[in-house]
Amino acid sequence: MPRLHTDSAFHIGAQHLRSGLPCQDYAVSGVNPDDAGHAYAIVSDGCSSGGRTDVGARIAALAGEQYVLYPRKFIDLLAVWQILGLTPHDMLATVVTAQVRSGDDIAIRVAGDGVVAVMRRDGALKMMRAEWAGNMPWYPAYGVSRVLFDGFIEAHAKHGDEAFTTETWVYDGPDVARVDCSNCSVTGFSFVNGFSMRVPTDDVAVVAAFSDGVCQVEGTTWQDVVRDLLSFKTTEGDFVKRRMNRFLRDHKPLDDISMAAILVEP
Amino acid sequence: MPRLGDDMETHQMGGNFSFTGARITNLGATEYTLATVAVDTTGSLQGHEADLREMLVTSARACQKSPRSDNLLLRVLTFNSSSGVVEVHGFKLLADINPDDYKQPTCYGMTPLYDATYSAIGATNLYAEKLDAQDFLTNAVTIIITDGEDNSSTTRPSMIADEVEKATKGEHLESHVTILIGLTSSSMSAKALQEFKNEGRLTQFIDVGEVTKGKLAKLGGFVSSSISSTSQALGTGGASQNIAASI
Repeated sequence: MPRLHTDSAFHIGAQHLRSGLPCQDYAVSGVNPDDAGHAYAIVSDGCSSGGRTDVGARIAALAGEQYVLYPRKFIDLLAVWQILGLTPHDMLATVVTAQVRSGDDIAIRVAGDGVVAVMRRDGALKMMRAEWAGNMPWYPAYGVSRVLFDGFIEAHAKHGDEAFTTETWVYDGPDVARVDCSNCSVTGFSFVNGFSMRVPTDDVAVVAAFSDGVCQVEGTTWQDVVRDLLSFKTTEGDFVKRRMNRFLRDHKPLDDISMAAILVEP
Repeated sequence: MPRLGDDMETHQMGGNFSFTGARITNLGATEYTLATVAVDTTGSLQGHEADLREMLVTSARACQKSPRSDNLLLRVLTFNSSSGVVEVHGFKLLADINPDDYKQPTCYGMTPLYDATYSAIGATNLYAEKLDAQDFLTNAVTIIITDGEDNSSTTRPSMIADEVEKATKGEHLESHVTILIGLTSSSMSAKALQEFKNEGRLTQFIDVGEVTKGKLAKLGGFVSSSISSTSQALGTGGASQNIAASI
């Protein structure tokens, strides 16, 4: 059975730092303590115009972790919000989840927006970006408020079929190509499932999830940011944090940035 | 020669110098302080063998209790003209060091002070360079303890100054504090050590005066607190401001 190893990192962006706001990204990863062949990587990005979405992002990511580890467990998120005195506005956060499970395809789910990447052992890299028009992503917390939900539908009505788009790029040696793009209207989007995909596990070395902060780094493209962040030099311990720290020495993310990765070692 | 297992690897410096360090692919933290303690074991320190060992044991034990112990890599050297510059152990994680394994040195021969300093600083620079290439953030503190001036080295202070400058100008070390400690009752030796500090461009020279059991005991505390302060300064962009100017 391959050995799975994970790590995650998040960092405040320049805009929040300047305005005294906290980092509204969060990331968590791990290997299932009951199943060494199962690992997960989760990032969450709180809405900047929301209330205490730094807390909301953490709750969303940690709830996502509980759901991944115990899919049949009922997680009473409403009770958590009430105990903490949070409102739906505080819970506006996207969640990107990637799971590797021995004997199964890699499962990826984007609730909102973000980027996922899968790298093969030969270095070939596939990355997919999910994006909502007007930087107004779907937040799962909209589902608990009719007012918020209707507001979201109305805000995207004018975007027609371009409300939600994805684009997929492949880097294979010297070859770079956008291999896929898709789009749909807000009414064509599955709010229950979010955007989901499954990727064959064959020969996969790295699976990673990123918040859309990778798309807001001065002077570089999101694709180059992803490639840079996946250039791990060593892979023990805090391998994602080391790479993120080195990346931040040379780059200035405008938005909060987060990343979680799973290494699959044969 | 140090024993090598899967967890240590050997690196070659220039000339006849080499050192060992924890295998970089095994390191898990994001940042490390590289600490080196080089201890004079020349003939003039005969009678203080047990105190020298105790000083090293105390230092290592105190470092192991530091909240930053997981981010420390410690290298220990001894030096005299009879055995040369001996690496008691290379850059090792504190958790992998058993201070009880430190042996009482045999104090004999003359003083290859420059060679020990060159080995200490040069190895730190090279190891830091390798760590930096693998995304680790590092800083360093090197402490050289001697009771007399150099009289049997192959290297010169100018070579040491070159290594110090490499650390200053290169970007692989956030800071590198080098402390020369003189345990001598001779004002001429103290003056020579001060000159060496200047020629070698070391950070600091501390004249402790004549070696005594009590002073060596205090030295153990100074070594561990200097290492701890340096480690706490890692990530701030500069050297620790909290290293004492005296012992």
